[in-house]
Amino acid sequence: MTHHLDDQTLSDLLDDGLDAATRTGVEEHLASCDACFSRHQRMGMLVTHAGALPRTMPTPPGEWQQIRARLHTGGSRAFATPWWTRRGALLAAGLALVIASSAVTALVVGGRRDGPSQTAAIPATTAALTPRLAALEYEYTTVTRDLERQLAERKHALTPETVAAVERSLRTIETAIAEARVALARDPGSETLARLLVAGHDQKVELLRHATRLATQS
Amino acid sequence: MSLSGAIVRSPSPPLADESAELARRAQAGDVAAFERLYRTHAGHVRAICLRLCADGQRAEEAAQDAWVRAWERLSTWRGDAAFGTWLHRLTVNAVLESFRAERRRIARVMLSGDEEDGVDAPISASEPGDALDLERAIARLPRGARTVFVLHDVEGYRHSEIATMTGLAEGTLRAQLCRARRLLMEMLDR
Repeated sequence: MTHHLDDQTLSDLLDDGLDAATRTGVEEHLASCDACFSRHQRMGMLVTHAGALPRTMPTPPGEWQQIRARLHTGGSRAFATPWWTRRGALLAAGLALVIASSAVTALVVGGRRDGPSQTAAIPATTAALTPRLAALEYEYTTVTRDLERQLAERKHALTPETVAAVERSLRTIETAIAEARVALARDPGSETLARLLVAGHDQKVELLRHATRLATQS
Repeated sequence: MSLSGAIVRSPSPPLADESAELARRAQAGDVAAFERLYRTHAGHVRAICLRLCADGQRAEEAAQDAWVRAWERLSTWRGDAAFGTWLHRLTVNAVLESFRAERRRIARVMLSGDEEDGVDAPISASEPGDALDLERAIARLPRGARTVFVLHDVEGYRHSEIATMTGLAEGTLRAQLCRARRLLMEMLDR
């Protein structure tokens, strides 16, 4: 081995990530090359220093009080403020999605002049999406499922009116998402439709997160 | 020097025993016990969040989210691992999830972009002769490299464990770790 060792090899050597034959060759080189030996030593010192960094750091003042306020300790309490004021964000999210849904519908219907729209009834699969969008959808699905589970566990803490508002907003959002996916299946290259699809998922996550937070605080 | 077989640094046995007892009480809804768990482990949670986020405000939010999540998921701690180890993993996952959420938000506005590391903080060039300490240098790493470096070299997770937590292939992890070490050596040499 006549060339200098690259950093990846030195890094893998530190982590015991080389096979026996490669390791032997690398160690022989280190024994005869001051430059590589020195770099290996420096990298090793860095790793040693990193492992010796303090395990703890001072916490910000009042952190526990803020955490305590967010803990759901069982039992449901009535809202201290009218639910209409608290669910303002929910209504706003719902309204935004009505607009988004209408936009998708307009795009879809506008692109189809030969018959009635069947957008909401046609389920599009992620296979119709670009890999990047499909990966995003997968992430959204994972997060959404978790939030839905958390919300289901705490739904009892919300008033029936709030629950109904959340469910209405979710239906609107899901319609918008479904329509965007159908439209994308027909026009996979559309940046506008892709943005609408992601915006729909984003709205759903935000809505669920907000509703879960409300349920936790009440 | 080898880090092979690195073990996540765990609390000493008496601390682990006390935490286990407190965790069992907290599982039954004892908030005072949970507060004592917080007092015991908050400094470590803070350190993980701060090193991974490299931003005080975000670290504060991440730490709070981690503690709230810990309370919500206490029933999933079965006592087969030390409470501190369980909490540690949960904290890392909470931070990584916040990273993924940020990537989604960024993807929303730059769908056509192909920059995978788009959320990384740029490495700002420091002035010549500006000697950085290791903590500050870690904070300047791009996020992907920083995450792997903190989890592997600071916290002692194995490649396979980090791969599970981050969803990255081990080859990618090794490359990110090497990148982090190289960048840190460069920054510390200035």
